[in-house]
Amino acid sequence: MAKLFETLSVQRTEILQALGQHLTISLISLVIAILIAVPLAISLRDRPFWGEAGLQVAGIIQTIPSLALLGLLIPLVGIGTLPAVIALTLYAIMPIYQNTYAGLKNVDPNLKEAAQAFGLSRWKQLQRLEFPLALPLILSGIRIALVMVIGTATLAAFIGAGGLGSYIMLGIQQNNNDYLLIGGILSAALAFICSGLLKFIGKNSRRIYATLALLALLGAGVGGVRVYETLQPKPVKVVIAGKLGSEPEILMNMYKELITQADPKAEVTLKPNFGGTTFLFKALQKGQVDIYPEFTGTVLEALVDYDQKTPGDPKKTYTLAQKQLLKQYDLRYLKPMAYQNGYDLAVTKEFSQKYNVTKLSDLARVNDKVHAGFDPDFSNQEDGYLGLKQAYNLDFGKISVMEPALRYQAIAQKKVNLVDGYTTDPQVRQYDLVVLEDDKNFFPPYQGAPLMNEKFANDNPKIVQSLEKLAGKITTKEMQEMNYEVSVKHQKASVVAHKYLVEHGLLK
Amino acid sequence: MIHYQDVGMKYGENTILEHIDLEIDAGEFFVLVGPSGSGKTTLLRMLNQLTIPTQGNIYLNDKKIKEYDKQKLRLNTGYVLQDSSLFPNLTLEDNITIQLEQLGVGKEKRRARAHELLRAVELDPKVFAKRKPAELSGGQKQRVAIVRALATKPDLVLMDESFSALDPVLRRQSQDLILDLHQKLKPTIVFVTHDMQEALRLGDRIAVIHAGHSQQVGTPTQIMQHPANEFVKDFFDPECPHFWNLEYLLQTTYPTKIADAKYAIELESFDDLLIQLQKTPELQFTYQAQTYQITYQALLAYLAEQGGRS
Repeated sequence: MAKLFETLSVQRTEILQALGQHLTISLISLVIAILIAVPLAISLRDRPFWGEAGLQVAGIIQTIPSLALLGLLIPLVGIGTLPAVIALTLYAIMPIYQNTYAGLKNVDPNLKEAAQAFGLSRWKQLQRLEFPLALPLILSGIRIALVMVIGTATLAAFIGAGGLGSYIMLGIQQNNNDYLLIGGILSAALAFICSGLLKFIGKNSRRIYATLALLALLGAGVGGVRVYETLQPKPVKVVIAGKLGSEPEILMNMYKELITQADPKAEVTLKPNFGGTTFLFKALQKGQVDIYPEFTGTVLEALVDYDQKTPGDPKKTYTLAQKQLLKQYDLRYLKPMAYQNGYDLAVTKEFSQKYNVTKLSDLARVNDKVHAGFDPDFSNQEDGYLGLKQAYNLDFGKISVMEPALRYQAIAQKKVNLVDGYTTDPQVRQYDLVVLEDDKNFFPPYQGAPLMNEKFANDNPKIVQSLEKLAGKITTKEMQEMNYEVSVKHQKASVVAHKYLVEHGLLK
Repeated sequence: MIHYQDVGMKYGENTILEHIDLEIDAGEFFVLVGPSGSGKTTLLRMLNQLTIPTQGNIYLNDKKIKEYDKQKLRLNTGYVLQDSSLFPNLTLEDNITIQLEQLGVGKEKRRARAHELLRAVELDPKVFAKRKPAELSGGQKQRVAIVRALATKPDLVLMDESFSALDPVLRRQSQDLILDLHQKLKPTIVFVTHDMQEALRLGDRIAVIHAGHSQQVGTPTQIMQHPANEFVKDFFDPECPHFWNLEYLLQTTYPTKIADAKYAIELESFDDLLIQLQKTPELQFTYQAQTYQITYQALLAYLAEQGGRS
C-alpha cells in the first residue's frame, strides 16, 4: 500500500497526463457519437422501417469484440488516437441511438396529433414537444455510452492511444500490481464521476443548457487556439516512442533534451510504453512515430531479412543492421550507445568470490556447484542455454525453470545461485549480483541506437547531429544504475535522464 | 361560413359517412351529436384537414378546404381535444401561445396574450403562468386547453368531446365557460359530443349523426318537438338517457354478432334486453334479422362507460 502511494506521488504528472488522455479520447468519441446518433434517430423517427434497421445495425456493431474492432481499424487508419476514437464512437452510437429513438417513439401520439392539428411545423413539433419529452431518455443513453466508452478506452492503450489503459498494460507486462491498481481504479472512478456529473446536469433543463453553452464556449476556444496555431510558423514536430519499461523511457527523455537543446522551438512528444517491437516498427514506417530506440541484435533477428547467424562482434552487428535497414526499409540507424542489453548470466557476489568466477568460461570448473534459475524460453532455446552449453562446455548441477519475474526473487532469497537475465536489468544492482563476462561472444550483441526514416533524417540534420552525441556513451553499469533508479526507486525517467546528461557534459 | 356538400368518407369497403350536406353560419355554436362510431368526429376532423373526405367538398368561406394551405388553415383554427393535450414540458404560458410562437409573434406580446387569456378563465396569471400542466387539476387543464384554442383569435374553433372526460360538476362549469366565451368573442364553434344533454345545452343548432348519415338538423327546440324519425326521438327522449337504446348499444363493441342460434330471442327494445338478461348470465337475441350475443358483465361495462362515467 505504501508503495502504491509512492508510485502515485512520483508518477503524479504522468498519471494526470494519462487521465487527461483517457478523458479526452472518451469525450471526443462521445461527442461525435452524439452528433451522429441523435440527428439520425430524429430523422428516422417517422420511418419505422429504417429506424428499426438502424437499431439492428447499431446492435451488430455492439457485438464486435472491442479488441477485434481496434485490430480491424489498424490497417485502415493506422494506430494511435484516431482508430481508438473511431472504435469508441462506433460503440457509443448504439445506446444513444437506441434511447433517442425510443424516447421520440414514446411521445404520446395524442400530443403529437394535437401539435399537428395546431399547425406546428415539423421543426416546431420536434423543438417544443418531441425532443424535450425524449430528453431524459436521451440523456440516460448518453450516460450509458459514457460509462461504456470510459471502460473500453482502457483498451486503446493497446494501439498506442495512451490513456489509463497504458498503466494496465504496463502492470500486466511487468507484473506490477501498483500500475494495475492505478489504471483500474482510476478508470472506474472516472466513469463513476462522469456518470454522476451527467446525472446532476440532466436534472433540469437550465443545467443542460448551461452545460451545452459551456461546451460550445470550450469548443470555440479550442477551435480558436487551433486556428491561431495553424497561422503561426510551424515548429518542427517530433514524436519519440519506445517499448515497454524504464530503459526506453530514459533514452527517450535524453533524446528529447538533446533535440530541444539543438532546436528550442522543436515540439517533442514522448510516447513511452508505446508497444512491442513489430508494432513500433510499423508505426515508424507509417510515420506515426519519428524516432524510437532499437537494439542492433533485434534488428538482425526480428526486423530485417537476414538468414545468417548474428555475428558476435558488436561493431559488425551494427554495421550489418544499419546497412540492411537502409536497403530494405529506407531507414536511418544512428550509431549505438556503449551499453549492451543482451542475455547474460548473473551470480551472487558470494558465489563469484567463493569460486572465483567472473567470466562464463570460469563456470565449466564449477558445473556441479551451480543451481540455476532460468526463464522457460531461455532454458530450451538454441541462443539460450542449449547453445551456451556447447560453447562453454557447461552442464549445471541443478536447473529450476521458473517465471521470469520470479528468477530474481529466487536468487535474492538464495534459492538459486545463478540466473539468466538482461545485462541492464536493475535487479543486478538491487540484489548486488555479478554479471559474468561473455568472453567467447556467444550472445548476440544488443546495442541501443535511435532509428528513424531516412527522409526524416535528411530533413532534420540538426536532430541527427544532436542524437549522435550519445554514440558510444552510457556503459552497461550506468544503464543498470539508471534502470534501478527508475523502476526500483521510482524516480522519474526524465529526472534520471537529465541528471546523466548534465553529469556527462552533454547538456550545456 | 362552412358548407358540407354531399360529403362522403370510405375506408376501403367501410362507409363511414355518406351524403352529408350541412350549412354552418358564421358565429354559430354548432353541435354534432350522435352515438360513438356515427362518424361525427370524422366530420369535424375534415375541417382542419386531419381527414380528407373521399367524396364531395367542404367549403370554408366559399373556398374549398382542400385548397387551403394546411398549416395556415390549422394555425387559424382553434382545436380542443377530449383530454386537454397540454404539452407537459411547457409552462401554461408557453402552452397557450404555442400557435402564436409558430406565427412568429414576439415574446412580450405572447406573454401579454397568455395573461389575458388566463384571466379570462379565472386563473391568476401571477400564480399560473409559469406552472407546468402536471400541477393543475383536470378542470383547470381543460380551461387552459380552451383558451389555448382562442390564442390566435380564430374565427373557427373545433371541439372534439372536449368535456367528456370531466365529472358532471366540472362539465357543467366548462359548458358555462364556453357559452360565456362564445357570447363575448363570437367565434364559430363546431362541437362534437355523444351526450344529447350537452348538445341541447350548448348548441344554437344541432346536427344528429347516426350510422354515417345526418338524421336531422335544427335548433334544440325543433329537434325536441319535431324529431325527424324514431332514432332521433329515442335519442332525445328526456325520460331515458341516450344510451337506453338498443340501436345505440348495437353500435358499440359490447354485444358480439354471431351466426344463427337456436335459442335466440327476438327483442324489440333496450328494456326487453334488461328483462331477459336478468334470467340468464348470457343472452342470444335477434334484432332486425341479425343475431347477437351479450353477457350481463358486458352490459354492466357498457352502462358504466356510457352512464356512470365521471
